[in-house]
Amino acid sequence: MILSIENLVKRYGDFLALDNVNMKIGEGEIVGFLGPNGAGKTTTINTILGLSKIDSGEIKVFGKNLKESEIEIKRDIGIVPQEIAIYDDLTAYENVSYFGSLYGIRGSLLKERSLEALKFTGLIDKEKDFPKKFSGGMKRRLNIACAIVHHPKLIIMDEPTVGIDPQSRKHILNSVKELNKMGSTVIYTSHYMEEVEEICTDIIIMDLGRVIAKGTKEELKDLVAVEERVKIEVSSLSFTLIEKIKGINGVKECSIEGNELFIISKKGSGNLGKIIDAIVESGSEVVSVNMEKPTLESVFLTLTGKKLRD
Amino acid sequence: MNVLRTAYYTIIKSFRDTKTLKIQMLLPIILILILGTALNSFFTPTNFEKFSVYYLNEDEGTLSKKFDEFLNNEEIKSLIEIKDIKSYEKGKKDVENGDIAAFIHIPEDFSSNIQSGEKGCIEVLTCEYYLEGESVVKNIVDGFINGANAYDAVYKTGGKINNYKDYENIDNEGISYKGKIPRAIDYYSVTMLVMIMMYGMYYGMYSLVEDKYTNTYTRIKSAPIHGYEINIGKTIGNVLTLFLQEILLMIFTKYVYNSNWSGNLLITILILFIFSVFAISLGMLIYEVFRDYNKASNFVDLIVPFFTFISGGYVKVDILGPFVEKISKFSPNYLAQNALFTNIYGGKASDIYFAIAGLTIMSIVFYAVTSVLGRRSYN
Repeated sequence: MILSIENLVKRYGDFLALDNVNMKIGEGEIVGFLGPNGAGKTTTINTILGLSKIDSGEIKVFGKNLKESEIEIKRDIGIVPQEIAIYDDLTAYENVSYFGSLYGIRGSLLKERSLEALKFTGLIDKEKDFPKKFSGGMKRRLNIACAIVHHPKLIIMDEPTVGIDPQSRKHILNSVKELNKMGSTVIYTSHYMEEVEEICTDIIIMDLGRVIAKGTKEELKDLVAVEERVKIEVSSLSFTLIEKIKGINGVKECSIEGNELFIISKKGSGNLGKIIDAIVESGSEVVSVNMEKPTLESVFLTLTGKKLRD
Repeated sequence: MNVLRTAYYTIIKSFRDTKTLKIQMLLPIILILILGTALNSFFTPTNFEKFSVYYLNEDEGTLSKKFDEFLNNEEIKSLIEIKDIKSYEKGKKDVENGDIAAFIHIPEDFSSNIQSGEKGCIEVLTCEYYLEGESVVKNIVDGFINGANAYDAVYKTGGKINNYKDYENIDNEGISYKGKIPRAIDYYSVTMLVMIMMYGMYYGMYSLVEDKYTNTYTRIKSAPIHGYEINIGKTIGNVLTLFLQEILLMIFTKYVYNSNWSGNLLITILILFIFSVFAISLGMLIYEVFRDYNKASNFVDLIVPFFTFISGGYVKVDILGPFVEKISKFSPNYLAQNALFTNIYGGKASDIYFAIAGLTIMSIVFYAVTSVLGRRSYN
């Protein structure tokens, strides 16, 4: 287990920021860390990094107690803060090199790692340029380069793609997947559900200082799915076909629009085969079939009552 | 290693911050030129002012009689007005109070000591307030001592001593004020440099907020290092940045404006270094007291001109009156300026030691208080 949090409580005065948070993250995962604003994501991240003192509970990173082995643990964590955290008066190379040096890397290895990080983030040809001349996307990539120069086992990315162009976003998402392939575990927070959907293997959803759901994408979708929706385009429609479909076990509703059938069935009824058989038997042809499954957005909405970007 | 690397990058960042660098380097260069040119007439003594000097000769020997004759020389009388007094205590007290420029005292065993081959001393007490007077009196006494040494050499080789012919002595020692009395450009090269070093407090203040402003705070605090390594590194970097800037300014004014930076170079460098340490520590302390960069900046913008003014940075203190003269002693600028002027133009070495010790102790106290306040606010 890369990260284990048990009964974590954090208060700011009377405000309970983290309310008995429990989570476990295994090695090699890319975990989407979701929650509306003020849910407790950043506070949780800060406690993992040792930036905020906790009131009670236990945090173990790489199997070691954070309180007892903070410096040792920090050596293997890389942080990509939400705000771009670089010095404008240092070149791209100097930024990466300086932050790398804080992790104990020295000499030729530091140079090698710094160049490697810049290459990885697509900034190698900008190594001597100052970040103040960079676009937003390039700054975000430099922000990541500074976090991975020391080859961390655990990378925490706090909204690393805010306000950037699609090209840079694609580059960053590919980088996250690549880093994961290279052995890093990634905790990824984002307000863009499609990013989480694309890269994350597991998801933790927080709200009001508590973990309200966790699991794989499919597990979470199953958690909120109470019915299955299917849209079938057919060559021709008849009243008898609709009645026949409505009579199939598990079908709750069947409606039409043009040559399309919208069918809602009970979750897990497994009646798609019977529906297609009925269509074929009626003399019509199936043109296309679309299964409508719950999205992560709908999962989030169902669980928190809020949209992710609210 | 983290300390050194942080210090190195702090210096790099500071020298690349052209906006601040222009203020730190160009502003004093322009101010020195303007003030040094415009106010030159205030510093060039066209009519040499005579100074009153107390004189007490307790020696009955021949050699001190020669000094009496020496002082009665018309050339000497044109420079200083000798007032004979009877009490050593009165002379010392009046010099200390600034009522008289200098007090020359010849102890009773002066002649006998010299004639028996021992050391004889003419005691000269001077008031630093009368910078020119101090310089003139010292030159006169030096002139006599040169003559006395010559007398001693002639006497020991069996020669015959004649009465003093003093003109040569005085001329040789250079009563001419150039080099001994600062010209406006010399004066403002020192005071403006000290003023701009006080503005170096901004470096100290910024070092405490930089990582919050650049959002690097989270990254730094997440690194496997102790916070004090970064703080010490930044402090060293800022001190060296300020120190290097002042050395460059000193070199510039010396070679471009031909400002007088004579005296012991190592002591000048030491004073500049200690004052850099002091300014950075004071800047850090001011930020920790206000815990608000804008408020702290406003405060610095208020106190630097104030300290510069009362220490005679813009206009010489003796023009500003006795009240300002008294409170000027409480200005850190005064300590540094006084030490630099003393080193350049001659004066009591104890003034230099006092300034160095005072600034060092204050710096240590400021760093300690800053550290305590910083820790408290973090917790």
